[in-house]
Order: sequence, then structure tokens, then C-alpha cells
Amino acid sequence: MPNAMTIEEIESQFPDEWILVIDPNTGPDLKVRSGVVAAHSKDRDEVYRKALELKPKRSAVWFNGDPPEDAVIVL
Amino acid sequence: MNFHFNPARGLIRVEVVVSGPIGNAVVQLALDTGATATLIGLDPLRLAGYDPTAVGQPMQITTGSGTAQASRLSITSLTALGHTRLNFPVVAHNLPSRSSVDGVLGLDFFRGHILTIDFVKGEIALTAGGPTP
Repeated sequence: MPNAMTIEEIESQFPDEWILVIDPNTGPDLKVRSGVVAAHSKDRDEVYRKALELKPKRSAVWFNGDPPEDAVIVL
Repeated sequence: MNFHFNPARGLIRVEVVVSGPIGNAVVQLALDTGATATLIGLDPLRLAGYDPTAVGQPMQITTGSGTAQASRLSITSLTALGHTRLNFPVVAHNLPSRSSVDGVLGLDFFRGHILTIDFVKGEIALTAGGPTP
């Protein structure tokens, strides 16, 4: 089992990737402070495939990055 | 409590907790006052223990580019911005991965509350208000 990482370590090691953290330590704002990275990939589906395989009771999944500067998003 | 976001660029991404029969999943949704309903991707819902394609009520949603098929289901709870909504109905539908979020936090989450978005400080506050007329 990998060791828990701080959010600073996670953000610096996996830029512009989708990240799955198991048993995240979150603050009152729900942002992840630390946890065990169980999967990371540029491909969101790959990260969720791993998550659904593990079936964690507590998890966090997010994209560690911003859309490109020139990207326009209209939802 | 104030929540922080990057006021200079990108979406306003909000951490939410999706609670379900298997567990709790923290994912990011875009705060979207242009959406009447809260929408969450199928995989985050499955991670919490739901099967949207089996239990959701089929429905049609209107997007900026047309209409799409989706399904609606109630989840045990949704927590965001310091507030928890129980038995909260959400639309199950995938946004493109390029959006960098797993759905949108829509107006239905904010009704009856006071939502303040400060684009100078990059802060959001959601406080209890009164009943919606």
C-alpha cells in the first residue's frame, strides 16, 4: 500500500492529471489535505475504472490542473 | 465560512461530498447559476453506490448545444459550501473530461439561501436565507 501524501506532494507530482485518493484527509472546505493516491491518469475513465474496482468507502477524485488559458467552457 | 476559488480564470470549482449506499465520494462540480439542476457524472454516482442507469428516471435535459438524454435520481445527501441537502435529486449525466469537473452545482442547491460570489477576493459564501417565494 503506498504511503499517504500531502496535497502539495500530490499536486507537484501529478500535474494535469485526474487523481483518485483513498481515505482523504479533508478540511472544512472539503479540499483534500492528504491521502493515499490509488490512481492517477490523464484519462478520467481510467481513474474511475480503478475507483470502481476498489470500491472505497471514502474517496476523492479531481482534476489537478486548469483548462488551457485559451479554453472557453460553456456548460 | 468562506470558500476560495481562483477569480482570475477557469470555472468556479466546488468540492462536494456525494453520499450513497457504498460510501462517500468527494468530487469537484462547477458552480453554475445557469443550470436549473445539479448534474453529476455517472461514475462519481457509481462510486457512492448508485446505478443511475438502473434506478434513475429517464429525462431529457437542455444544454447549450441541444438536448440530451439523462436520468434523475435522489441521492442520500449532497454536501457543498458548508451545507448538506438530504434526499437531493440530481441529474446523472457525463460532462466531457476536458471540462475538468464531474458535473455542475446548479440553482436547485442554492434556492432558499444567499449565495455571495466575490470575484475580487475569490471567495464564495452560502448562508441560510428564507423560504423561496
